[in-house]
Amino acid sequence: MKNIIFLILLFLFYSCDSDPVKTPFSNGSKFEQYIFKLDNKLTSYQDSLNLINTSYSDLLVSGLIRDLKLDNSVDTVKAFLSIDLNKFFDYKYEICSSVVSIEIPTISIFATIDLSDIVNSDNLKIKLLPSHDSYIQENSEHWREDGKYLLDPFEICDEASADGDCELLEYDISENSNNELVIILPNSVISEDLKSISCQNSYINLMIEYQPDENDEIQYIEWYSSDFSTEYSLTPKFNLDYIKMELIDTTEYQFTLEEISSVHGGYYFINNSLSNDWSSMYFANIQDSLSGVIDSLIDFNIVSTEDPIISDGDLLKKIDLGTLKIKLNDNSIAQDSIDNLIFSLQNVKVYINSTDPSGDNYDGNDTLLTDGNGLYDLLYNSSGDVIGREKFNDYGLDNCKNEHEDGLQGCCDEDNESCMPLYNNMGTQNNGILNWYDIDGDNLWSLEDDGEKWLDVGSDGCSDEYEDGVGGCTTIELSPYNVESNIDPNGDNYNIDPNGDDYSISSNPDGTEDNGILNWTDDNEDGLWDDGEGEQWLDYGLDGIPNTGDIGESDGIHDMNFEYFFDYGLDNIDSENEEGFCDTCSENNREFDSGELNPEDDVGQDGCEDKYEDGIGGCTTIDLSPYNIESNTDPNGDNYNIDPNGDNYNISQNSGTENNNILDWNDSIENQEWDDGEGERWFDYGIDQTQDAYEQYLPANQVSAALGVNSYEINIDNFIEYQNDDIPELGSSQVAIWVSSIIKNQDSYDVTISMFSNRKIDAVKVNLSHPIAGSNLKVTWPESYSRHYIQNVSWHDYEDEAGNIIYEKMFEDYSLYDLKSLSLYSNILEDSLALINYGYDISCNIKSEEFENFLKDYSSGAISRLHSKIVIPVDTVLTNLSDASFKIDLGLISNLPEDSYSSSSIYGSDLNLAYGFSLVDESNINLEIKIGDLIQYHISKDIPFEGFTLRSNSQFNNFNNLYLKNFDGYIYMVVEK
Amino acid sequence: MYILIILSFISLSFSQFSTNFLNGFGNNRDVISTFSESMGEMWMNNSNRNNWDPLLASSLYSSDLTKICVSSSITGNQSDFYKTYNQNFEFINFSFPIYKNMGLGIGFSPNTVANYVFEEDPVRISGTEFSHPLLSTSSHVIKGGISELSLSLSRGFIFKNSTLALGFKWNILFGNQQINSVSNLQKVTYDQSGNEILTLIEDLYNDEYNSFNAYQYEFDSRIIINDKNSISLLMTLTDDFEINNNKVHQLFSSSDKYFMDQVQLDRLGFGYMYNIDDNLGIASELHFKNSIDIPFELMLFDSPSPTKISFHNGLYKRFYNMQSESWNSINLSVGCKYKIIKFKNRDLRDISCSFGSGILFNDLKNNIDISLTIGLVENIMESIGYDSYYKINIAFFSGDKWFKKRRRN
Repeated sequence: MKNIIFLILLFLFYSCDSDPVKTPFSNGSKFEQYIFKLDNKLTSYQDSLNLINTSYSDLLVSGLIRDLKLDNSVDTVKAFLSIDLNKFFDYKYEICSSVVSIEIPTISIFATIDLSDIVNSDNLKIKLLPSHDSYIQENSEHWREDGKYLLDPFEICDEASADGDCELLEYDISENSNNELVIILPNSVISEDLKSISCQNSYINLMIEYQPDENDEIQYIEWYSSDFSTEYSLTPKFNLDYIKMELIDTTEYQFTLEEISSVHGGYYFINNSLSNDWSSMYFANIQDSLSGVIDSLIDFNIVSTEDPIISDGDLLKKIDLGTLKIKLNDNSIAQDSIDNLIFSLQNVKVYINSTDPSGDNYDGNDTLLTDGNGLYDLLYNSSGDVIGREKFNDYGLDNCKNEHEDGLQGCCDEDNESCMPLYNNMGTQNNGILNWYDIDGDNLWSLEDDGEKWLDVGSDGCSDEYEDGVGGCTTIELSPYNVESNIDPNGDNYNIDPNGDDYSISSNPDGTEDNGILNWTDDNEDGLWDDGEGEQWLDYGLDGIPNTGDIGESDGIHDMNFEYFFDYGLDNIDSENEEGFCDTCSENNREFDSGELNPEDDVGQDGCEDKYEDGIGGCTTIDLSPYNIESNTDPNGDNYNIDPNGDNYNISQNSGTENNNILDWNDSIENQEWDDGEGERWFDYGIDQTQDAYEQYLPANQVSAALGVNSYEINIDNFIEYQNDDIPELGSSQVAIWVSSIIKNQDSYDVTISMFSNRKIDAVKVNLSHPIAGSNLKVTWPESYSRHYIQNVSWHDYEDEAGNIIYEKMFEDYSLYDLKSLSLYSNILEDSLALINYGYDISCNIKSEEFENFLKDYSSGAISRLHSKIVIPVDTVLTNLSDASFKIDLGLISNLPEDSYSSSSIYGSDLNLAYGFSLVDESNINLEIKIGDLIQYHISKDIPFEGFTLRSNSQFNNFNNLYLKNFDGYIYMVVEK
Repeated sequence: MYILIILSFISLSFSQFSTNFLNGFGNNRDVISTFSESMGEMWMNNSNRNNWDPLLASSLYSSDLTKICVSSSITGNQSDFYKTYNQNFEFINFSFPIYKNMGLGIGFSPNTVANYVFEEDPVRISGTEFSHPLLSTSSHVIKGGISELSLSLSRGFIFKNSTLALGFKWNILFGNQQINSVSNLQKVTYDQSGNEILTLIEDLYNDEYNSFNAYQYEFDSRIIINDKNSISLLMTLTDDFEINNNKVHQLFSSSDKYFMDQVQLDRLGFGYMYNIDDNLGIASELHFKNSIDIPFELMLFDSPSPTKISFHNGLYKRFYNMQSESWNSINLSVGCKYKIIKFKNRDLRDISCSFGSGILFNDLKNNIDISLTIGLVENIMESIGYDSYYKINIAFFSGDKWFKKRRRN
């Protein structure tokens, strides 16, 4: 009953949803754009001078700071760098106590510029403070008032000082980078016995001074400081070069293979412990080969065996193949850790002696027994597809591999060693590839460049005068080219500004397209744009939407502040729509395109044809060239040729006989055998493509031997002699191999390998291995070695008393300079400008009451992340933008911790939020920072908003002034109503 | 257990879309029984014998049967802009007598529901001195609502020629609602011919999640003055309305808790019925449905639900056939309704008529009822004009004497 009720309910109450609907409803989510003008809302400020601390800057500065806008003042800045050698006591390599030897350390510092010219100028001085005391106090008070730096420890180093006894250190540019300066420290840094660094209570304090001439281009150098977090490899480094003793794990085989004795026949074995094939042993009688140690495995396809090791007389007898002498690893530590040796015979391969191991010899009935039937045989399946064939050389009718071809249909093989093959797959001449180095960097071929000539004539391979109008080339007479009516018959000329009106400050300053200015002349003075009056504009008013009757709409006046115009130039045509525009065309695009290399110019990297080649990779005159049309056709040997006899199979033309996978043999003598000159040689070996003598080595013909228990143990301390003459149970292969005895012989062990077979055997291969899968015959032990260390240290870690790993930088550093007060700039700034400067800790507040009230009244809703922003124009006259960019960080007056903001998104730490920043440089003359997320956070968390701050980031230009206009900035918000 | 699982699922998923419902917490309509629906959507009067109604507390005493009732409906809504169709769960109720002239009921039904997926008309946003105009298109997915678990107690006082019936219902309101909105901002530019060019620039996300808890107290009374005349009264009060609100705007979330502890009038109704004879009668009712007083920012699109005043008239006729083995009685009823829906700035009119029939069988213990309501309602969006709607209700009632006294030998 319950189930019935359930089914009824299910049937009745299963709900269906309607499809999503579109409605004229528009009261749900409404958005609006807001502009909050920042006229006179920017205020520069400076912290109390005794609180200013710039020692955590990403940069150190050495040199002169010239402020042309501020009474041409010149200030000296020095970089101070210190390393506490005591920190090396925590260093795990014990360089403070004693190592085997240590070189005099150096210090590397990295500049933001190339130092090549500076190190040669003698303007850079590195001074070492005589005292080994600490002078670094990064957290302390650095200035009390504007002016002199409080902590300058180098006053005694000033040349004017009577006590100036600082040591000038030598330096040089690193071999690795022109931006790296290597400072050579004095001998006193290390102990007299050259075995340790003098770490005890010792600081190395360096001052880096740069004193350029007034006219020098580089007035100051910026160095990456120990606080530079963007790229740790650029922070200062303490360079160590020393050797110390260290315990290192050594792994070797438990025993060595000494020799094989008492052999039944020939033997070969690999005892090189570094070889992957260590312990491989062969028992075979190989023709023309002495028994003994070999380096690598034997390839039975290239050797021949003589008498079998198991012949008729040896059948069904225990035969000792040989006695292997093994010796315990001679390292005493290793010996202590070895209790016993356990091994087994592995990878056993037995090659039987037979006249026809594959059983494919022709016996008069030619079924599959095709070996020696005097015919070239193919094996087909029921569908008629070839599934097997006899071996042949697919070298073409010349029966010669490309590598041996002489270019004259001859073959330079082992029978004809006197001739020279022409094969050259590394040649650059006639390789169909442009081999060109653009020495002058103009993206076009010129005589100054290296390599092959090419012309920027387009993929059709010819200039306009030779174009045939259908994409190809013709003669100048037949070309439809006409200088007035048809200047580009094939339409391949690259042109991104056909009308030549694109504005460019350097090449076309009078251009009217994209010049940011409305080029419109109201010729008929009707207040409307008319065709022919220049650039079109839209009289849509402030809201940018037609037919709303808002401010400025249809008033016949173009308002540059908000009314849109098409900056297409006086022709009022966008470049892309100008006749002749082509940005994908290949002629004159300053790029090499396929087709632009004339085959005649494919002369190779040497840049000259064969007859001009000098024979040593260069070019010369035709008279001096060793070129000879018969004896030396390619003096520089650069002719690309992978088929000298021209017989390679070409799939598209179905021509060529080499590598066509078909036997090209013409039995011209009609003797059913291959003879020289009859094309590709074939071999009557049968479908297995193997001669009888080698068929035994085919995997299919190898037999597996019975191995018995196959686990043998040698107890080192309590050795018991082993003897086992019991023959393992023979399997179907009728062959057994085992270790029949182990005898101790002084300090070695004799391991006898025996065999019992009912078949004649040509060869046996066997390896020693551990019987347990995953185990091996090796032993590992620690041993003390001297080890050479070259280290560049900038950070170290140590464990504190609580067991925590502490990461600490090795260096501490800061810049020494005289602080300037913001009040010095008051005459420049007045009310129209705001200033930002990292070195003097001058920042800028943005406080807009209108914006604050807006946020106060705004309850909730979505705020555009991508389009809500602060935009403030930079005063490009006062600000020196040519040096490098500024990075300006956004902050909040309310001092909201950035990490709480970052971790408060619904994605938590997965989303990397950070306060916004802006880069300002020559191409970005507006400071523009996105604020959508930050404001959304304030709204969502109901945090009172007090205003923004703008601070210079220390990654760039610590002493450059950034002047912001105080009347043209604004905050732009796109918010849900 | 099965039933609870089904109902839990259904209570979250049924709805009927109209732009008139994009306020409050969605469609807050009154759940009424099939035979009340067919008499013009009455609350207190119906075509049933003794006016028994599983959703009307004061009537439960009048049956000596233990009854299980389930009801569902099919609704359709159509305007010039949209057309929707839904199959809905209405209620499930279990009632039984507990003493002479006393009854008890337990019920479950939706109170307010929303299951809307819709897209707004694009809106142009004026450009500024420093920016182009924008075009925003918003789409919303609104799911969930408030369910109602009720416990009813009924007591009838029967006098010689008259009867006084009193009912009290305690409703526990609970549920949750999720609103996911995506607004698509496009930059508006124009080509040289003045044609509009739209470029997608950003999607903005708003999500909201509300969970609800509240209580309702419902009093109703019926006075049967004599064989022909009776009057009725119903009043529902809402108390201790608690809302936990979580919002996510773009990447950041915020949470708030709201608690309205003042008692609010939810609905008030008066009714009169005149029985011409035992099997024929007419009835009229006047309803007042109050707009709930909740902070605007919690409600859909910051819009409060409207106040509603309505007038209902109905007629019923019953036919008995006690000797038949197949059926015992057939009820026929018809009614109409006129409702004023009072929004803040506009009043809407809602007119409907309804028809219904019920068949009782198995010694009047079981019955199947069906009703059809069709109507027209003005739309809050002037551009839409009006919605036409229909509703078909189906209900099953199964009754038996579960707690019979057995005579001991």
